[in-house]
Amino acid sequence: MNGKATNKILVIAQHEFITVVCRPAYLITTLGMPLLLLGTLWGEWLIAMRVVKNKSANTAAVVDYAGMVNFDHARRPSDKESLLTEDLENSVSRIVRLERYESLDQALDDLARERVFACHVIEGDYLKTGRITSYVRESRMGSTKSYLSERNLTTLIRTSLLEGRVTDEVRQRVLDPARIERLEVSPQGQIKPEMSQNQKLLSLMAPLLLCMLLTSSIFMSANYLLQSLILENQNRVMEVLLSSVRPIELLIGKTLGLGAAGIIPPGIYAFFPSLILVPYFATQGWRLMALAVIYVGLGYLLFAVLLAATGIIANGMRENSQLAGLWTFICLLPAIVFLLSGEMDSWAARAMSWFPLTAPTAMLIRICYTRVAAWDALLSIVSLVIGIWVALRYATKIFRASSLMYGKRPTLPVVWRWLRQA
Amino acid sequence: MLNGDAIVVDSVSKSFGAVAAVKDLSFVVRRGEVFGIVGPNGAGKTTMLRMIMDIFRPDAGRISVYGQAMDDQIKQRVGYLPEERGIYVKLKVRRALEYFARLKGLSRPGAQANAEKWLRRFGIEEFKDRRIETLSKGNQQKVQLIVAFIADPEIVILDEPLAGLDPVNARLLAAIIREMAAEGKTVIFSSHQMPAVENLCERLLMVHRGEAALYGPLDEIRRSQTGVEERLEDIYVRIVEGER
Repeated sequence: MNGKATNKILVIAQHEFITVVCRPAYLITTLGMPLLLLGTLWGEWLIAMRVVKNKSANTAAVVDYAGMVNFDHARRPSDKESLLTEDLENSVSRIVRLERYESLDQALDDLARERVFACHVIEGDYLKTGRITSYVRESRMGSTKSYLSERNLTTLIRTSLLEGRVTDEVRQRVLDPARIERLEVSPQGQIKPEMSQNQKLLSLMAPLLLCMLLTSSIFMSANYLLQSLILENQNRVMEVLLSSVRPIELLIGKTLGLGAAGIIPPGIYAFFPSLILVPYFATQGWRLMALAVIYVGLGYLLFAVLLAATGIIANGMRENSQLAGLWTFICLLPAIVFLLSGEMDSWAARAMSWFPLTAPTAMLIRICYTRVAAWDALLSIVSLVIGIWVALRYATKIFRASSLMYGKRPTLPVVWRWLRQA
Repeated sequence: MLNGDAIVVDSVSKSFGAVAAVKDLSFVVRRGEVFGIVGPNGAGKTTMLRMIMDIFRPDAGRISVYGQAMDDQIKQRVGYLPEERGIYVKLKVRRALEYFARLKGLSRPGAQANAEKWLRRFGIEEFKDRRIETLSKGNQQKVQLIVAFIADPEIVILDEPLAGLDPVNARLLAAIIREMAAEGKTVIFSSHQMPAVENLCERLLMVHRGEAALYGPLDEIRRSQTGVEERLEDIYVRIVEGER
């Protein structure tokens, strides 16, 4: 393909892209929904911050009839520290403040007036019985803050009880008795730190997220492609286009332009979930990410070309949606097979990795869950590239033959004849 | 290839299933001439023009433009107005014209300059920032004609260019076709309007049932049938009616 052809492809891609992204419906779908979501999250964050800053809303009263609590050890509410590094429960428990009250009546009065959210009474016989009475405001909802303040109070009592009786080191170990470091031994005997629960969750989610991004992009682009083809058929503009460009240039330009337009909305929707992929790839290696990008990109190109070919012979939006559904099912087939069989290194799994239509999803899942040999990955990439080339060749033939059949739909034998002649 | 031939069509045939649209058709279009293709509906004119533009591929025979098969380089030198008029009605006039000009290989500034020039020539420059769908039918047709001329082509192929044009605009188009011929450009057009063909063309091809019924200089054709000069329309009707 020479420079002029490339230039024409870029002109077509740019035209298709701008035409789609300037539509009000596209802008609303792509930007409106995420902005609404961000607005909602921002509103929730503001409300949460207001609650955090409201001292009385985070204070629990403690009436110590046993006279054994040293409030100097009570956790101070934290404004800035470690909200991002601690787990959520610890972060929230830091917000809760314990305040000594001398009189139960005063504490209950403040509870009723919403100056405190709970009142804990350490009974006089606490050392014998461990009895603490907690008063909370009448509510249909459970109170997480009450649970957290009770937990903080327990820690405070432990600290107070141990004070002066044991060394600081022993006291610290009593309060935090074990920090277990768990190591994993691989089948090859390699010892490495166990992934955290978050990392394990990520490793489960990453391939699914990538597959979702791929399939939703396919669906989105299928819609734009069909709208574009319908529009050009309605406007009878195909013949003018074909008098200036070759069908293959038109097809590639459309695929790239509409593909870019199609990948943006799911890309934006997936942006925040995708952020969690960054630490995943950081721990799993950027080679894995490069492979994931290759499979998503090649998979997208393959299905976009197939959609273009079937889109132009489909009879209207409904039939095109059914065809897009069929392609998406084929695309997701490996995920279903892996889910049912649990085998990702079997010959069947490898065969799916080397078959162009199933290769993108099969490999996206395999590279995330198992160790895939370099030759295995290379073979699947080669099969995908060949698949795209073959699809492009046949799609161009169908495109050329059917693009001027305004309002007519080719029969299956006719399509078969075009394919044989390609 | 004869010296000075723009297009040579040599024994070309094309079928769609069992229907033979064009049968063993041969003709030559010379450089700088206005060449007419006439014939009744379904005679194969549009199929023939589409084959010249490489939109359809012939089943048999050969078509050469400037001595070689139609390729990207040559396509950029050919302007085409299809019978099925096509335009992006939702786009603004200027953007649509610039897009088609760039597909013909023009740079962005070149496309803008040519769009301005042809909009002025057709007298619709004040509509350049309006959506095409908001224009009158006649002005939409002018935009479609500009698409064929936008890249200043050496060959212009116009399929039924006069269809739907009012007399004023038909006269304007005829003037533009004559200007192009005077500049040495080649114009091929198909039409049912015999007076216009007689007025503009030097040579013509009459296609009937996919075959050449008449072919040659207009003057010879008008005299060859009866020995006396006849109107082209009468010859046309006689050939078509004679078959029925």
